[in-house]
Amino acid sequence: MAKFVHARYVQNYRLPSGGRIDRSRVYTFRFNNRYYKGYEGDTLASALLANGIDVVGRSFKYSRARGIMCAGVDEPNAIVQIGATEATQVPNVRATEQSLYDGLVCSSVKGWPSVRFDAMSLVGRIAGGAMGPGFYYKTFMFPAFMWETYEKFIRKAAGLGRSATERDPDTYDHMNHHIDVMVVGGGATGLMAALAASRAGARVMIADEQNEMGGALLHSNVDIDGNPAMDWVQQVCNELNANENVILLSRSVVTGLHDHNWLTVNERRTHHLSDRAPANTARERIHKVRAGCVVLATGAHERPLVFGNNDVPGCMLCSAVSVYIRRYSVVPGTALVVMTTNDSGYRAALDWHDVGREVVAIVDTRAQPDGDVVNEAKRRDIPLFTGSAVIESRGTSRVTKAIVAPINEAGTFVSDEPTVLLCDTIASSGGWNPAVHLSCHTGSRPVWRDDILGFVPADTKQNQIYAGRVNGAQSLVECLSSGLKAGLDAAESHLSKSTNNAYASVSLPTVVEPKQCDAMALFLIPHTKAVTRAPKQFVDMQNDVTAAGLQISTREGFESIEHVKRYTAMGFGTDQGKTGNVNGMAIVANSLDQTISETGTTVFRPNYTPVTFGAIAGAHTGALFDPKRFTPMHKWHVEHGAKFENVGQWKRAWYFPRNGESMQDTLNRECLATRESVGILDASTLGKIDIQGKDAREFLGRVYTNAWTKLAPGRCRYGLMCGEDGMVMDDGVTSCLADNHFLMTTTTGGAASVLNWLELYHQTEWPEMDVYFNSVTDHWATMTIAGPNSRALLSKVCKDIDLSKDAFKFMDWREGTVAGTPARVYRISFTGELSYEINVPAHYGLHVWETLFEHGREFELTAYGTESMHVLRAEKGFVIVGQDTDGSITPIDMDHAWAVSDNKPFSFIGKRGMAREDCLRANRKQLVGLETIDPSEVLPEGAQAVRHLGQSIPMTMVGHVTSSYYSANLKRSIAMGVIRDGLNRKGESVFFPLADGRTIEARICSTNWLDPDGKRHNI
Amino acid sequence: MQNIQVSNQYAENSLTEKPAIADSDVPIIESALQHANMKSLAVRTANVQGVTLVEMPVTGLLVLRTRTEHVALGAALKSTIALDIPEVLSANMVDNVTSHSEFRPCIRWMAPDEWLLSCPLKDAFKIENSLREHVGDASIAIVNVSGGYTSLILNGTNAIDVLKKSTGYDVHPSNFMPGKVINTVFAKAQATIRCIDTDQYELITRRSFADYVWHWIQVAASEYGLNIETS
Repeated sequence: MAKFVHARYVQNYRLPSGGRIDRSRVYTFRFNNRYYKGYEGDTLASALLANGIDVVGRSFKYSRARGIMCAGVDEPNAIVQIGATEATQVPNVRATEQSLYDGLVCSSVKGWPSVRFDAMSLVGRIAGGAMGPGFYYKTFMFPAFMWETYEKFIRKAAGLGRSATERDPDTYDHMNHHIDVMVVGGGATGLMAALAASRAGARVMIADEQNEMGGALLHSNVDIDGNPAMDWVQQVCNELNANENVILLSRSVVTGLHDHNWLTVNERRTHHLSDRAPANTARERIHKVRAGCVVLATGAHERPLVFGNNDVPGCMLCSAVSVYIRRYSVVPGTALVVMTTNDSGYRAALDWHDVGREVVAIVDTRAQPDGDVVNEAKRRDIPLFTGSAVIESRGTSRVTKAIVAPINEAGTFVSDEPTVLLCDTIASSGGWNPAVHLSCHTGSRPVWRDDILGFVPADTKQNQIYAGRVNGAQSLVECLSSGLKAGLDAAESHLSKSTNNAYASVSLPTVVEPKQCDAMALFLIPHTKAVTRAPKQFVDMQNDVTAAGLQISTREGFESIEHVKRYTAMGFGTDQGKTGNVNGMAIVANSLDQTISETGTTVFRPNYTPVTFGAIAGAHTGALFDPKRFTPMHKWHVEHGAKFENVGQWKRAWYFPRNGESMQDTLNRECLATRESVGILDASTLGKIDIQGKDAREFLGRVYTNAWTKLAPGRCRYGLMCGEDGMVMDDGVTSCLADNHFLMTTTTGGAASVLNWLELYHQTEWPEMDVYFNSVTDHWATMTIAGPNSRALLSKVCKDIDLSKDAFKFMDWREGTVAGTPARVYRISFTGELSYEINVPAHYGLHVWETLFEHGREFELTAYGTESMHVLRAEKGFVIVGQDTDGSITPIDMDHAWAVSDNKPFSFIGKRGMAREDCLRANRKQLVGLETIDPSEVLPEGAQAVRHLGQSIPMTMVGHVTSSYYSANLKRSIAMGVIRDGLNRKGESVFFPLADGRTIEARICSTNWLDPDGKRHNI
Repeated sequence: MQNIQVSNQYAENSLTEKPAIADSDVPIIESALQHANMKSLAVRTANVQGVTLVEMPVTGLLVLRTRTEHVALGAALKSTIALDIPEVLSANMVDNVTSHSEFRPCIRWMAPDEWLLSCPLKDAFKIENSLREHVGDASIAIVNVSGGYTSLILNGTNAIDVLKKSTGYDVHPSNFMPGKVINTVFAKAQATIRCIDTDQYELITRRSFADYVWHWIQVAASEYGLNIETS
């Protein structure tokens, strides 16, 4: 158990005032077993920086110290494990996106056993040389049997975080939305678009991944309409919030933009409150958005420059430095060197200078920069190195020096002696990568633009509009105007009405921006040594991919960027290479002597950021994972101790044990009671389809194998249904209610598919037939009473049906009143006993069931479940479709030739199928009875049969057991199975060699064990 | 359609509202959610706002089907219960009052050849017979499915949010307005959903799925507060 140390650190790097934090709300948090303090409004990253934490993790492959580099979704290094308890563990959280809350507990996921004392670093340094690109393939794939061992080692050492071992106590859910205009990104562009679209009358949703709207304006020093930019943001948000047709979602990442403008938005609803969600609040919600038009205003991510040891803590993005200073009031160092290829990098130096810290130098790779910010830096006497670059940083757990050298105009080599600058922070800017990811999810590949030195989204077939920085805008003015236009165009395209009025009502705010100077195309900073000899120049921090690694992979023949990606693992991390990809592509292009455009990008697929399994599952978990269906008598079953089994989605009573009875004892009791007196089964789950119309009878003749022309009202008939292939698909009893009106019953599991089947044939093959199908499964509660006393029992609760043997014959049905309710009673039998199936509307089901029990006391009426039903029917050899058949059994194979009519005027489904040569050949598997030689031995279902023993393995298998039970009535085991040529081989033995070494011998026999003459039901 | 034998006997059973404990021959009607004991939940949730759920008493339900005989069916409905066949995706109700009641017949468009008529349980058989008489031998099917469903009423300011969590259909008031009826998925079950009035919806779900739907609604409404009322 680690000791928790109260840190000596105070927030030394926090400025005395400013920022979008609430200093009155102080939060304590724990990082790697030490306690620190931060404020409401902080991210975990800003709080760590305020406390001077340099090292937040160790790198994947080389185990190098890594610090916070970015301030948002692009962060590759600051990946932490969060959770105060085992159940609330969340791996791989970006500290830059995690809002701080009181009591937050987290630790580095990288670095084992600890970040500060790190066992891997030596391994990393030694092994690093051997772990070149493709190390997975070269080193670890062979020998294959060692792979698991290697993987464990790699995972433990690299620390990819871990998932909780206890059940997640939180809940998740989904919500559907239909939106006219979906705006992705809540920066200046997105807000302007949402404002315009909403004023045009559209239903609008705007989602942003950060905790508040504003995007880059959250740390900008630009004024809008003469006031701080955030005043304008607040004003826009107020208007949007007040509009009931606008939904603003912050902390919400649009993770996928799928076909037909269907978007998935992952809202983190409680991550900022605690590691455990408050009661009745979903921790995360996936919004499923169907949008008319999508405005992508996803902005851009700053691109770092690739130079020697550019991963040492203290190396950051220029924009991240500005964010930490201006938004969180944290200066992440004391002495700054900025290296930039463009004007935006100067902002970091100016912001740093604004708060009174030392800017050691601005190193501009351009020979003659002359933008407004350059002049501002000069005016402030900040040392400026032009035509130069930071070629290397020095330091291990923190930057201590920057090595600065002049470079040639193309940036391809170092042109003069280096200078050493003392500093603790190196901020770099290589330009901006438009966040094109979502635009690619439906297959479009981004295109390179030399003028902005970035990939922008390509044309798409979806109704989507790109606006602002993602589409190459270079200034706030451009962002606002393109947002305005996008919002109006989007509303117009979807509402199909002119938005001219809206144009008039939305005006562009005024912004004064500095004049910019052209940027320089530079990605990999040259070193005095060759790339492969120079200190490591990292491209992908999370996967430790270096410029040298990329060069080696192209040299080894991996020329497609997709191959390079897979060979080096570039972009494979949880950050998906948001900082590194484009630099990597540029380096690959350079080493292949191609343009970046020719090299292209890898494919960006959903999701934009990782999504938890909890969010994907939503509320469809536990008891709600799959609907459970209940019969009207379910409550009674529960009260009487039933065990249940799943049949489709139904919960069916399986057996009713009493006072600790074993299952077999229960079945014996239930079966004997039924055969000797009367038993009752809840058969409500059977599928029931009401069929009406003058062609109903003809339709039945076409979908069943047997004849229906002569079935009179009041009569019932068993029917077999086959697929086109002639194989048995379903069975059941169908009753003639009137000449044009039938009730079909199906198996419990087949109800929906049979109804579909009937509709399919009606709608596509025989639409001329006048027939209607309606499911009445749920309408009827069905209870079967079976046994010699069933007539006596029924007569006590039914006075208006003549139940006598001749008036109400086997396979008749009658209408009457049972227990005071309207009922249909069918004299049909699945047990071979005298049996009545009582059907009443479901809302009377429990009442009738209980009334039967009241009157059934004198007969010891016994409830039996599906298992006894199986035994009782097996004693009679009745099949269960789906258990005794498997889609390869024809009615003939099943010994049901009697149920196939060959002289119907119209054909029937399956007729041709079962006439195929293969269905007529000898030696097919046929359904037969199986009696073990030892009557107490019960064959396992699924056991494979062989004709004789003494064969070498693999033996010739001739069939298998489909149903097997112990029958208390027959005082022996019985089984059914399919055996090759079985019907001709009754009396022969087959053998069942079992997995446990035993062999059971059984004789092939008839399936009709009990009462073959049918005397029992005919009384 | 000739010779369709009426196979239900609700007329003899207009006993539905009587309590029946002593004499077991007086049938007790159990709604699909009888086991949930809504009465005691109603007491416990009396002060809860957000979403209100009511399970209606068992309602008479008739499925009406025809592909070709809309005129005959329309005439039969008109003279039997004074209702017109509703337009696509809509419902017509006697008196056209936008409030829920099991006492007023309401007919819902379900599909191009299908409608669902609700009425008091005790009237279902009478209406069924009367319709049959009117349509004569036209190709029209009538099926009594009163036992097969339950009707739930959801209302309150957050009722729409429960719907949004449960179905992919666009339930925004501009698209799903009073009088509109849809057949759609509800979580992993199926439901006929009718917008009765602003913030008031009727869900007709299969009886065997009712417990699942009830459970789902409890979870979906928990963040807003779920108030139970009895009908």
